[in-house]
Amino acid sequence: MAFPRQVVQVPGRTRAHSPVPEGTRCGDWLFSSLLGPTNGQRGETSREDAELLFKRIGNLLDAAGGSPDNLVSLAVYVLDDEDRAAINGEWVKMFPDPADRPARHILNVYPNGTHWRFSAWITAVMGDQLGRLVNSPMLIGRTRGGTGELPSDRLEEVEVMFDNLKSWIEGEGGTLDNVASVMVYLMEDDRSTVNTVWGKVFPDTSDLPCRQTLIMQPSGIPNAHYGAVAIAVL
Amino acid sequence: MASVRERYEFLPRREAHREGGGQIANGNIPPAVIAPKQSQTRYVFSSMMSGHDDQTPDHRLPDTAQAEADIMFRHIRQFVENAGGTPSDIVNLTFFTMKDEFRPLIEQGVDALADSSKRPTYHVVNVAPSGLRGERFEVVTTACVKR
Repeated sequence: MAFPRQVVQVPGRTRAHSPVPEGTRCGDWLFSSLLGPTNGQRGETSREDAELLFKRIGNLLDAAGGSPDNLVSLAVYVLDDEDRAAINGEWVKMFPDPADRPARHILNVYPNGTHWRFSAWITAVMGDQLGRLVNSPMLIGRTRGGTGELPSDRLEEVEVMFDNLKSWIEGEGGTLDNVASVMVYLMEDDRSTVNTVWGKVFPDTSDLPCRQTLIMQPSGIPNAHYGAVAIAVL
Repeated sequence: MASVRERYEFLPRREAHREGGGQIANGNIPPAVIAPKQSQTRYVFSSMMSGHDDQTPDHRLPDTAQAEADIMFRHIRQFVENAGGTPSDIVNLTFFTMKDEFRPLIEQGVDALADSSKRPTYHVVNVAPSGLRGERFEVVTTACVKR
């Protein structure tokens, strides 16, 4: 493959309880998994959490050989609109020049979208070896390419969803090895089923995409319990 | 090290964005960035894009969902065309909506962007009850353009 996938490990962080890496580099793209404001600790206030979150982002960029100068897009998911102020405060510290800041959006995911007070997902460009970036549509666990029956068993639904992900990337001319990042939308807080299938699809923990998991209850996606949107580099 | 990104203003009437209280309006975040800035092939990343009417002094939301969708899709076109591309250069559109009933408007807007063989990849997520703040829908866009 043209752009070998590389898991980015941040010194001092453990992945003992997580089946996804802190970040994944593919060519000169760097994507993160969903990053919460934790670094062995959790803040008492939104301001402390914002400091921890941006520190974690900085640590990941540093571990990948870059800096905030490489960040091109930041998505932040918040439970409470009031926390935007704390995020904006750290944003200005990390990016003091108003003329040179990444694209950014903040989305409210109340009532239970993320396990943290807020969390973030980054995209960074580390150089000019970028290949062709391709995004999937929303992939769900319906058979026959997403238009057929929804399996009654949740595990089977997730398996079919990842089968559809595999079919999608093969249709783009690639393989699962080209997948750099996967956003998984849940209608219920059922990460364990996703993790079970994830471990089968990506068994090598030293070579796997990063993943963001958001709970989009109560609305999210119609007619399915899970949805996935993948990014690949070809 | 110099930054890889370049601030990108895709709406011609940027003075309109000084209206309102949003983070783009007050200059805290850019409407979009282009990276890598020295390359021939460059990727364009938007911040949140909406159907606020930049032709009105107060940058207000239209009264109807159709009008809001029309403006949002005009912004999507401006986003990619002012960067030197066409709608077929859009890599991804992620739409956030507050009601499933708005999905047909979004689907019609995507269909109108380009022929089916060149239509951008997109998905829609319903972020009710609190995802957006007054807007019926919004979108984040990524495109790939050549100099």
